[in-house]
Amino acid sequence: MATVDIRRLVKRYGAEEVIHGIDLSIRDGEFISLIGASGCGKSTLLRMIAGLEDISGGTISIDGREVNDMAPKNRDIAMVFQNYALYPHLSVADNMGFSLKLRDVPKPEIVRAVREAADLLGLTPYLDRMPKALSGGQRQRVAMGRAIVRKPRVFLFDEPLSNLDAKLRVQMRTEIKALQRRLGTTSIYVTHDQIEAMTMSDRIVILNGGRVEQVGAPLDVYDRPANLFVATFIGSPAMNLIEATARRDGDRLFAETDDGLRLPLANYPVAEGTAVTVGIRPEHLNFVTGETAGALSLAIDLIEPTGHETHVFGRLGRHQVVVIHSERVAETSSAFVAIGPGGIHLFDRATGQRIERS
Amino acid sequence: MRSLISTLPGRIGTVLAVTLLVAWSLGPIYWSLVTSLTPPLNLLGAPSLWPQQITFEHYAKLFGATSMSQGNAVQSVWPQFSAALANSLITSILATIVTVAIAAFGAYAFVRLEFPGRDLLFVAVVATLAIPAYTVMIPLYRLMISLKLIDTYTGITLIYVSAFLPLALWLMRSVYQAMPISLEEAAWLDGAGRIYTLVHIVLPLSAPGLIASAILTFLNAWGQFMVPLVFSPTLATKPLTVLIPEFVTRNYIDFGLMNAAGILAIIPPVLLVLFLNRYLVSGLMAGATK
Repeated sequence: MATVDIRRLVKRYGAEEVIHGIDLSIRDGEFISLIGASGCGKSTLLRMIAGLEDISGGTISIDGREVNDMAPKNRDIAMVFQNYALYPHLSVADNMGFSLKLRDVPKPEIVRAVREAADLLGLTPYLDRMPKALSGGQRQRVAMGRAIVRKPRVFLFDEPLSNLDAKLRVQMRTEIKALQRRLGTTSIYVTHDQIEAMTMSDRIVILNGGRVEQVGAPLDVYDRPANLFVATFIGSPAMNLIEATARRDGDRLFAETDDGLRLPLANYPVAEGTAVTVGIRPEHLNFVTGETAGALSLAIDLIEPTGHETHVFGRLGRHQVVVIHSERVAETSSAFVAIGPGGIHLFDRATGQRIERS
Repeated sequence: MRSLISTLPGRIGTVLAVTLLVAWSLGPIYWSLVTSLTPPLNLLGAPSLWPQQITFEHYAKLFGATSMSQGNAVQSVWPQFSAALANSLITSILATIVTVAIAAFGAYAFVRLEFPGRDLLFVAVVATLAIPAYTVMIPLYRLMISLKLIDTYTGITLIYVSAFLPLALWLMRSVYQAMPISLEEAAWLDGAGRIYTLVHIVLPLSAPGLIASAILTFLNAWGQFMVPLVFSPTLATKPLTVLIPEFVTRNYIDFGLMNAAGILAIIPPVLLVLFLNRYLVSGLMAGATK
């Protein structure tokens, strides 16, 4: 178990800078996810922590000790690779015991440690098999077993589930989370799948173009996205965004779109005439009757039933929006919706930053 | 019906091509085998596809202490033949071991280590393949004389290694390039150093490439004629390729003996290829990744 501290971390490939000074403190025993689109630098960051990529600037410390110039093998970390990277010429048991053998651990102890890990992962019947005789999910488990068998200070996961089919991915997600809880080992998990990040992590780090956009607990990030990037990146279907201008009418503040749609705002510290973007999560648009106060007319284009809920695609004025309704929706061409309490997120359109209520 | 008509000429063409190819490759060997089994007198008549009369006297001349030749007891060539066979084996095996060992480690450096001029150096090494051997023969001869390496195993092996290493290096480089680096990274994180990873993870998985390099090098070395002709003047290191043509005497060309020796000289490389071929399996990497 360990803390990981990243200070002003920079990565350059030649003249091109791909990571621009990242700061991040990972607590002991924490499960933290690095999430972002491909090319955002999340895998590079992970590989720098592992020691597989050189550090161009800044520091990485594990348990308070700088590891910038420490070889990967001396950092006492284990990594689960996206493509598993099992040693194909070694049996499952030898794959898992490889690191202990290198540390000159006595043979009986290796056998015991491998058995223990195999029990934990349900791999006991397969210990004598070669990797090629295993299914994808079993190979994934062996890769996990290889990581846990030597009790490292930090686990690194590089998109470990992206090669599995959807059903297995959900199952392994739960297993990894449960395993991490049980072992209590600090874990850094790279993924592009927001569901994985949301469900598994204590905190998530959203990366974009080599910069940290936001760090926080999954629901905090969901409820209070720090900027427009995070607002649209987290949540599926994505948050509805409506471009508007802040207007004051006496005490009352509202956002007015150029086609005359008026959305009432609570008390925000915005000046009259500020260009803003109003964000509304699809589940915060509720179907109401036309007489309800604040009802907005929605022209419906498409209704998508998913089973447990319904996605309704339509337009508020000229603005495309999605509504998630928890019940089934009959085929129709128009309806009224209202914005649920606390359903509005306000962003400064010039900076993209969230505006907090005053 | 239509498909039968359209494929029939194609099939005939294929059979014809394969037959031609086999005849082209194996024809000379068959000719040599027939000659080695034909009595010397018959060799002077019209050639035939099948020996009229089979004799083992040429082989007896190679193996026996003395043998009968045209009614006279003559000294057999076994002492020379066995020495040359041993020389062929020793130089070829030494060249193979040294070449493959250097290629295994050198190619890895060319693929995984970062150093200035890496690619240029590699191109320079491979470019030596384009230099014809005879252009360097004279300077090489002077060099070997001053190093006192003429007619020594060391000298011959060194020349073979410098000649065959570029090809082996090239081959091993592409083998390593095709290997996923995550396997090596996993080993490093597991606590292995570079050399340990190379020896215990990379090399076992590169076995097909190593064996292909070994076969190529061995066959090349075994078949060398010009290098030993110049650098192996005596039976101390003279191989079969140089000895066999010497069965030409002032008065008589012993075709039967030359061909019998040639047939025997084919056996070691054939055995080697058959043996190593079993390890040229594909699918060693199966199970490493998704």
